[in-house]
Amino acid sequence: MDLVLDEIGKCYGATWVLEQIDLTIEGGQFFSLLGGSGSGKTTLLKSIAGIEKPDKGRLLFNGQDIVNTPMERRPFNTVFQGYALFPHMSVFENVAFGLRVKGVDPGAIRNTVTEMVERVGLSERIHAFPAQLSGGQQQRVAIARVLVCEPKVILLDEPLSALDASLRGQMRRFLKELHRDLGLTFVFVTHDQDEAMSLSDRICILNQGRIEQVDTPDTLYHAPSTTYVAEFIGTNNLIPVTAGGETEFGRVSLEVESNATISIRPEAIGIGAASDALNAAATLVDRQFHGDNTVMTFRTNSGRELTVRRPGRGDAIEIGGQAELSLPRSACTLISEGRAT
Amino acid sequence: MSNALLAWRGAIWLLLLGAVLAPIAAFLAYGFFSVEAGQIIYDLTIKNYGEAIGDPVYRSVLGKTILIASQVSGFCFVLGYVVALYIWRCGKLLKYTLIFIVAIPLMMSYVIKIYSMRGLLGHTGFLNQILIWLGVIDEPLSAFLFNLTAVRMTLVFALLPFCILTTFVGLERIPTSTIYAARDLGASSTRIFWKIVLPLSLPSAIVGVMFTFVLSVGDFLAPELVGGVNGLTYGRLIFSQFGIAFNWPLGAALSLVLMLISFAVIALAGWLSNPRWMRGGAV
Repeated sequence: MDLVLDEIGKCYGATWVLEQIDLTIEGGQFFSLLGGSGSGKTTLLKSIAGIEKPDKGRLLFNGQDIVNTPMERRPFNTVFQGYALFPHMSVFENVAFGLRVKGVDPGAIRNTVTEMVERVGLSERIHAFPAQLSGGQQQRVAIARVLVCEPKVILLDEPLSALDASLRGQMRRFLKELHRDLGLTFVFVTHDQDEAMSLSDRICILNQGRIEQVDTPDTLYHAPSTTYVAEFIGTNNLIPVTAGGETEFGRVSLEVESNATISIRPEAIGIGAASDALNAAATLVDRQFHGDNTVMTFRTNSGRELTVRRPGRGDAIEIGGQAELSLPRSACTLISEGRAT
Repeated sequence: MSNALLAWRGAIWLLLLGAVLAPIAAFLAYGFFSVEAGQIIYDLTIKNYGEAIGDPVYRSVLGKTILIASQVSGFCFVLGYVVALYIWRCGKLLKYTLIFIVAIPLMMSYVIKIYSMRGLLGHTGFLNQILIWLGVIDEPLSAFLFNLTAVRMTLVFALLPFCILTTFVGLERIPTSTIYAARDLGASSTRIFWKIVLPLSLPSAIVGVMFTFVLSVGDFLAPELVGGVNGLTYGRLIFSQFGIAFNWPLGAALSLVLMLISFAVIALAGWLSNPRWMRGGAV
C-alpha cells in the first residue's frame, strides 16, 4: 500500500514548480508535506489526487503507475481546503454522494451515512445545510464524506487553516484519533510546522519545489540536514564552522570535512560557563517572557546573536548585562548542506 | 444618529418617494378617472378596472401575451443556459472575449436591434437570401416578418444576452474545488452537471428568465415594429390607449394589471432563486 513518487516534476510555462520529487509514503503513515507558500506542497498534493498531471515522473501505488489514472478512479479521496462541501445538499446528502456515485442501494446508504455522521459527532445536524454549520462542523462533514468511500489514502489540503486556534487543537486530536482508529494513510499538506510536528509520523519539507528533508519530527528537530530545515523547524542558532571543526567560540567535537554550519537549539544553551562546552561572553539585548519559559537574545563579543530559552522567568540578567553562555559540544549538530554567515 | 446622517437618509427617502413612487402613484390614479369626448373627467370610478379585468378581448390579448412571454423566456432560458455553459467551459481568454461579445448588444439601442431584425427577416433580408441560395425557396417569402413569430424572434434576440450573462455569473460563482470534490468522489461529468453544476447555477438562471419575462410581457416596440396586424400584444394595447385611443384611464388600469403580473413573476423568481440551502441560519 505504499505510495511512491518517482522523479515527479511539474512546470507552469518555463518554471518548474516541482523538481525531481522522489518520495515514498508508507501505507498507514500520517505523512505531512510541509512548506511555505510557493514551496510546491499543494501542487504535489494535487498531483497525487489527480487534479494536476505531473509533466514528468511516475506515481506508483501498490506498485502500479497511476499517473494516467483520472482522479475519479484513484483509490484516494481529498479533504479540500475550505472543505468544498456541496452547498445545496444536506449533511446527509453530502456524505451520501460518494456512495450514490457507486450505486450502493439506498438502504445501505442510509445505514452507512447515519453511522458515519454519528462517528464524526454530527447526528443532530444531519439534515442541516453546510451554510448552517460552523467551520469545525463543516470540516467533519468533509472528512465523513471522504471516509464513506473507504479510500486507501486520504489527502488533506490545509484542513485546519480556516479554523480558529481553540478549534484547531480539537481538530488535531480528532484527526490523530481518526488516523489511529482507521490505520489509513494520511497525506497532510500544511504550512504550519507546529501542526506537522505534532501530527505526523513523517514530514517532507519542501522548499521552492524541491525536497529539503524527509524524516520523523524528532530527527527534523534534532538533526536537520539543511540550514533551511534548521531554521524552518522551531528556533535555532546557526554558527559557521571551518573544515577541522573550528568555530568562533572554539573547536567542536564533530568531524568536519569542509566549511559548514553547526546548529544548536535555544534550550540547549546554558547561562554560565561549563566544561565540555563552547563558551562565549555575551550581552543580553532582548528578553521575551512566555509564562513557562523566557526567550533571551544575546549578542556575543564576536558579534553573533544567539537565542537562548530558559524555563521560568530568567530575569537574573538585566538588559545590557553581561553573561557567559555555554554551548555544550554534545548539543551541536553538523549541517552539511548550506552555510550560515 | 448624527444630524448629517439623518438629513441624508431623509433626502434618499424623499428621492425614492418623489422621483420613483409618486409618478407611478399619480399614473395609477388615472385609472380611477374616465374620458368623455377626449376630456378626462375627474370623478372617481372603478369602471376601467372592471373593463381591464372583465373584457374578453383584453383578456385574450393578455393570455396571448403571457403565452408569448413564456415561450420567449423558456427559449431564452434553454438557449441562454447552453451558451453560458459553453462559454464558462472555454479557456480564460476565449471566455472573456465571448462574454464581451454577448454584452455588446446591451450597449445598443433597442430600436436599432429591432430594425436589424427587420433587416434580417424582411423580403430582401438575410434569411430569404440564404434560403434562396440554399435552394429551399425560389422566391423571397414575406412570411418571416409582421407576425407573432417575428415578435418572438425579435424578443429572443434582444433578451438572450440577459439570460446568458446572469447564468454565466451563476456558473462562475461555483467554486472549482466543489467540482473537483465531486470528481474526487468518483462522479462522472454527466453526474457533476446534473447534481452539482445545474442546481448551483439554476438560481442565477432563474433571475435571467425573470428579466426576460418581465421585459417581454410589457414590450410594445417589437410587436409595433415587426408584429404587423396580428401582432397585437398587451403592451401595444396599453400603448394605443395613450396614443390613438386617447384613453389614459383605461391605459392606467391595463398597466396596473400588467404590473401586478410582473410583481407576481418577480416574487416567484425571488422565491425560486433563493432556495433554503442559500439562506443559512438555524435549521
